[in-house]
Amino acid sequence: MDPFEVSAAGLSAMRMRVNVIAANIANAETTRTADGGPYKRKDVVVTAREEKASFESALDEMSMAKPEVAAVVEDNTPPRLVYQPGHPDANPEGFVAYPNINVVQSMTDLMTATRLYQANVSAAKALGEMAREAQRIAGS
Amino acid sequence: MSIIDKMFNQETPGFEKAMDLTWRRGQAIISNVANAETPRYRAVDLDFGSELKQAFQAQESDLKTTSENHFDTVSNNASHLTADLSGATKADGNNVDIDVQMGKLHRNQAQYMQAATILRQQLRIIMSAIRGASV
Repeated sequence: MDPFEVSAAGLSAMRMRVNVIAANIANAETTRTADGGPYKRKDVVVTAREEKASFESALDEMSMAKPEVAAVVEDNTPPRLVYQPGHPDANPEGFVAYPNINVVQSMTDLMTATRLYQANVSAAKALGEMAREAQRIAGS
Repeated sequence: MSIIDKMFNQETPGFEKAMDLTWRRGQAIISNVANAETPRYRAVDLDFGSELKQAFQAQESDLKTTSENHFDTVSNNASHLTADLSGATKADGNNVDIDVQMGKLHRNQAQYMQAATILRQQLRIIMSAIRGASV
């Protein structure tokens, strides 16, 4: 398996997570959607697709794996109810349903995803430098 | 024996194998970093010491080749990945410690660079013997 492909898969999984978190933060106050009701928090489900490097290692228990975004799921926890009788989306009791999004938690998730994205870049860069060093042997 | 050893009838003590193993170890680390947040992913590593030892033992055995000039296939075998238990298992079943992995990544890279530099110097010595010392 090409290690750079593994790194690229890690990058795209992390980018997907950043995109979803950004959408969540942007819609933290969205009370009306096309599906009706408030915006629902979305989350990325990442799975590992194992690939064996060679026939010999196919017999091994441990193997490398490529992360893949399996699905983007909606958080179905009940919305946050705020008493705002004047709001056009208020229910008969005067409560408005806001998305169940914790902005502080979303921000920390965002930072983690960003750092992991950078870690993937460093890892790919390190392996790239190693490959270049091998080329230098041929050049000397 | 490696191709370089065969060509120049001398021992380059395992630097090629060291490069090969550190490269494969780099692949294992890259997989760990990419899957730092993947649920149920188990970190992998390569037992550098035992793999290198195995490579040397394969070199020493005469059973695999019928002539001095034959390349043996044993030392080119794919190395086996082992479980990396350096990190604690999180609630989602993932045991990648990203900080440990980044440390390993750079140490592994340094080892690879060292082996490559020494190998390059050895080839340069051979080259100066071919061309003559006047260069």
